[in-house]
Amino acid sequence: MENLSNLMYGLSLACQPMNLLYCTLGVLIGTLIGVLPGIGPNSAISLLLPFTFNIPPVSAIIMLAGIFYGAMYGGSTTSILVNIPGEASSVVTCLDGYQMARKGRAGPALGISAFGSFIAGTFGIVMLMFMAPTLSGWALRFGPPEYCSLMVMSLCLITFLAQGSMIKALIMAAFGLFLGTVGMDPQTAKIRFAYDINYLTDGIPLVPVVMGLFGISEVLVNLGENIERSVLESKIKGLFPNLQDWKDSAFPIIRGSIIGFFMGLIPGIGVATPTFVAYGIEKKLSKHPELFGTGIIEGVASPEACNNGTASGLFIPLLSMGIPGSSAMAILLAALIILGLEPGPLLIKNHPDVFWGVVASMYLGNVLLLIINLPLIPLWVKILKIPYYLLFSLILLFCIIGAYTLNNNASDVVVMICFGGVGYLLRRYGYEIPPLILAFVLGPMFEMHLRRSLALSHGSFAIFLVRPIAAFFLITAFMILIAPLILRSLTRKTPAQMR
Amino acid sequence: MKSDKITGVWWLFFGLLLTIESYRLDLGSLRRPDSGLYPFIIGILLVSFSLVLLIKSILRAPEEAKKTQNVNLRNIILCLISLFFYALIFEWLGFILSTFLLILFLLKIIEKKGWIMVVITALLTSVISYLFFDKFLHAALPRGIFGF
Repeated sequence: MENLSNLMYGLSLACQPMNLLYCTLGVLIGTLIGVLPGIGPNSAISLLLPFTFNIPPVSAIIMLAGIFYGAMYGGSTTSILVNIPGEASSVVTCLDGYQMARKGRAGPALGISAFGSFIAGTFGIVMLMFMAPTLSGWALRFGPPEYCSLMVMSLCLITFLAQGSMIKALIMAAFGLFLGTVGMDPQTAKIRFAYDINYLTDGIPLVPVVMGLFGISEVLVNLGENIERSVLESKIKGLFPNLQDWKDSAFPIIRGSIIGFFMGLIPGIGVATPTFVAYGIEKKLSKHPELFGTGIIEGVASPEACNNGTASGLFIPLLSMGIPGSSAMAILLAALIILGLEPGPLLIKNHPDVFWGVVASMYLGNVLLLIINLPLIPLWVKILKIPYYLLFSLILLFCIIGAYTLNNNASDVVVMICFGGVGYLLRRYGYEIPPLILAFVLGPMFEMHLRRSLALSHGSFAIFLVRPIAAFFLITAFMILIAPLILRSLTRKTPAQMR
Repeated sequence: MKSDKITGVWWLFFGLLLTIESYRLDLGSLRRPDSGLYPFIIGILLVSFSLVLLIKSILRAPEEAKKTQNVNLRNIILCLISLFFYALIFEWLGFILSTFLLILFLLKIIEKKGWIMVVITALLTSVISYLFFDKFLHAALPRGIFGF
């Protein structure tokens, strides 16, 4: 009952005209960047971050969260119509979605992915509402050693799930941890790795780094490739799936939601992996597995429900413990810190307006996405036809403006461009960005908790193994690290390698 | 792969540098860690990871050269240079003028579009984005020497 009254409080906040406006804006921008293949939610959230400093924190987080789950909706549109995943989370949707579109069933495919997303999103939010407060109560008992080993586990997991080489992902994580150490050491006030550059004494700012690594480097990759895109020129009619479609996709949607949500809880898992799992499970359970990939509706319903379930699941470790589960969540964590909200187990207690306001806005956002998006699909298709030369100059421009308006400092722009170049090189040679971002954000927290743990134990690392929860996380992390050695005989052939 | 060897050597070098520099920052002891200890551990990790990468890339049988896509390096380098140049001058020259020049350069030199189209697009983009961000969102973009 307490939850219900809290939710009512949240709804009253979310329904304030300004918050409603920001929620709508967030989900619309989210869908837009979900549709556009050249730019993902990570760059969009970091791009808009500077513009949220002037609005109340609740509205800011409502909008940024809206971008994230809105992108999950939008990503499917490009997968289905163009066979290019708008986001990593809709890679699997291409398999059956595009085939459905080629058979002239683009309408039902788009429809079922919207309805599936809505159902999974709502399920996820209900779970979020019940689980996050409980989990944060549990996390209050965490001491520094538990936090340390939890962070080690999330970093190991994100490197394990990297699509390319795990060792390269580990290098990226180490590099990210290093970037987090630049600047003043908060405990000894010594300046580290700044080499008399005044700008660096406050540390490397996150927002320009993220914009460079995601936004600018994505543009550079596309500029170098001269990709050709063709939008499927078919009239989209009848967005509403028929009765048979519903019968076929009811259980895949339910299973997808559950798989997505619970996998989203595990820090480091990201949004792409659960969709592969969900698709694989549907194929196993199906009476006609050979039809998967030829354009059947289950193959669209399950991963699309799954990625929205994951999107809500991911918010739980972030809001209840302050531990981000993916790079988008890492950026949101940074947003919480910048907005002065002190993320951690006390967030829900100290800032109930933020937590309940955001949860309630997600209910509204999901409804909005459903009623706005279905009629707007023809518009999104038109947007897909915007020529890339216009799009890329606009993305570059927005990045520049975003970085500059952070502090009205041109150095931020320079940092962003540098990291754009770095990000391009890293991508080109098969190094992935998400482990870097997650490590960069977690780094300073990790160091603080590591030092506190060592102070508690008088310098003995045994503290991580004596405390059961810490030991559990560490052992899991260790198993994840050695798993590739064991699994080597089983060649990993996931659809992830299709990209 | 050859690129793995090159990047592996780079990370090895970077990790070694990091360990040396952290050592200079004072490691302290495990009981009382100083500023250098944590980056020192990161440096050691980087060194060991890059060694693994190097060993793996040397041991691995030389795969047949994967068909690398023809990457248009010219575009990428030109784009980066123009962005750097923009970042250097835009506070001095003002947002509208420098953005106009940037878009002009990107569309004309990189995308090789026609002059009329390029000028109109650059003009519209710079003015509209200025109005939207500066006047509507109050983002305080630089005015520059000409006062606009």
